[in-house]
Amino acid sequence: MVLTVHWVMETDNETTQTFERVDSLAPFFCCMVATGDQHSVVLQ
Amino acid sequence: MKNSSSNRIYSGRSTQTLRLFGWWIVIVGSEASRMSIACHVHRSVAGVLVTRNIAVTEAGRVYVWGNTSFSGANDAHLANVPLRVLNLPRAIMVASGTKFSAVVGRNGSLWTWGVEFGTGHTALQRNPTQIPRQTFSSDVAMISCGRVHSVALTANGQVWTCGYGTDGALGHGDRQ
Repeated sequence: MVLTVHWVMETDNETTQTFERVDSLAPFFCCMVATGDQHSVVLQ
Repeated sequence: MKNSSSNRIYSGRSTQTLRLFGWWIVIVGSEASRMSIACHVHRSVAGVLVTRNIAVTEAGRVYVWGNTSFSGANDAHLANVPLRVLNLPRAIMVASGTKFSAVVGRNGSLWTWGVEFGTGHTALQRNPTQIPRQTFSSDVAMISCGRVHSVALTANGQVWTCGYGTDGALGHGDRQ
């Protein structure tokens, strides 16, 4: 099994009031998500 | 009792946050129940320590205590005992941000309340509101909340984010 951690941390400051798909992760099948105060981590 | 808690402490100029996750035994009424708990301890700009707790029992019932101003328990602001959040389906997972909470139902639905993210509203919502199912491409399997953003995982392995994108927390690149 190969596990890859994607650190989703870039420079935008957008705000969304509805859920939107993270398109850059769409090619991957992710199995876990976690958050810090101002960052997100996804486990593939 | 399974206890897989992990503690994370964040320090900043205006806030300090401690989160606790894991399975705990909690007395609800006269009955002891195993719960999965998400705790959000936040020190406000004024230096006041704000503790918000949300838990889901093995039976799928959701409880809140501590500072419940944004926790779905109407007419309560400080609760020393767990208060059940009504109008929810049987739940499998809970998460909490600074002023909002989120619950994943066993039926794959996602519910939020507080100063909400996900419903398109910015005003305080005291009652749980379901995120429309058509928002996602599949059932919601997992939710995680930062201070002011949320990340949802759907059963088909897709990742969905919502809230404030400070420092790119939403993962949508440089889009404005």
